[in-house]
Amino acid sequence: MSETRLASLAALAVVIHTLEGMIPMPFPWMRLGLANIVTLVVLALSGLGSALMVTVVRVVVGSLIAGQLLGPGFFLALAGGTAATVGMGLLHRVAGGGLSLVGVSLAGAFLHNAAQLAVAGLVYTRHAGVFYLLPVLMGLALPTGLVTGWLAERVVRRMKDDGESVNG
Amino acid sequence: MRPDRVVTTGDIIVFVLLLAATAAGVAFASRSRPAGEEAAIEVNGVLREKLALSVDRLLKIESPYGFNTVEVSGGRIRVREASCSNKICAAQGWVHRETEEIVCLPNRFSVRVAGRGGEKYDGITR
Repeated sequence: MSETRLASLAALAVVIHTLEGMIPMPFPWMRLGLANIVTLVVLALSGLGSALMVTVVRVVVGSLIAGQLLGPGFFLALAGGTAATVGMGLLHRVAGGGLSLVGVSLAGAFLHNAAQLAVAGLVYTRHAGVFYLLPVLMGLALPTGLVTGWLAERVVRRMKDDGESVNG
Repeated sequence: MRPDRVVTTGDIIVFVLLLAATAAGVAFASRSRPAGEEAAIEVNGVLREKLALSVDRLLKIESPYGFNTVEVSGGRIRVREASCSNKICAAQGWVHRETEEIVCLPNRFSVRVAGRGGEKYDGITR
């Protein structure tokens, strides 16, 4: 994947991340994780290094746009994003063809929420009650991970059909 | 059109494992947190009242930041009325389990449910 294409995809991730932040949710910290579609696509087409770059760019630029750079939300997003991306990259490599992006995305959504909660509980609130949110966040990761994974898999298939080189 | 089978057996296994982990988490969270015995009310980080949840009562807590009226009934506690603008504290409703907490940021007011003798430990494993 060329640097230009990678940069375009990172920019796309920032756009999705920002638009997604405008969708009203019952809790301000709740997200569908649609920007993760880009991370998954890059992961499948270009590997973990590129996917990690997209995630970090998305979180840094996305927080900058939202005016939350270096705030608590930024570090939560960074922890969740990197944990999820590294985890998904390793799982994708280990599982090979055994898992589609759906399974990879599900695991990533879980890791994302668990890492965020760990940072929230250990660094920010230091309140044991936070960890009672874990089952809630785990439950929320199931539908969102499923939807983003399915969409990413469809996108990757379409790109391959259109002649995108897989490791170029 | 190519056959569009997206989900693999591995995906289903991952889904089932994560679903089981969630169910276990829910079961653990609901079982490991017993009903509280008392509620500590703080204003601006300073303890104002400790209320036993076994005694039903209505209490108005006033401070320079505003007032919150708490109601204890049937082992539970809630904020019934508040002077704050958003009323999030009142909308939260009843709480009764240990470590559950109602916070009213505008009034710097919080109610935290605790077991007998307060919170000596974050948690106990046996």
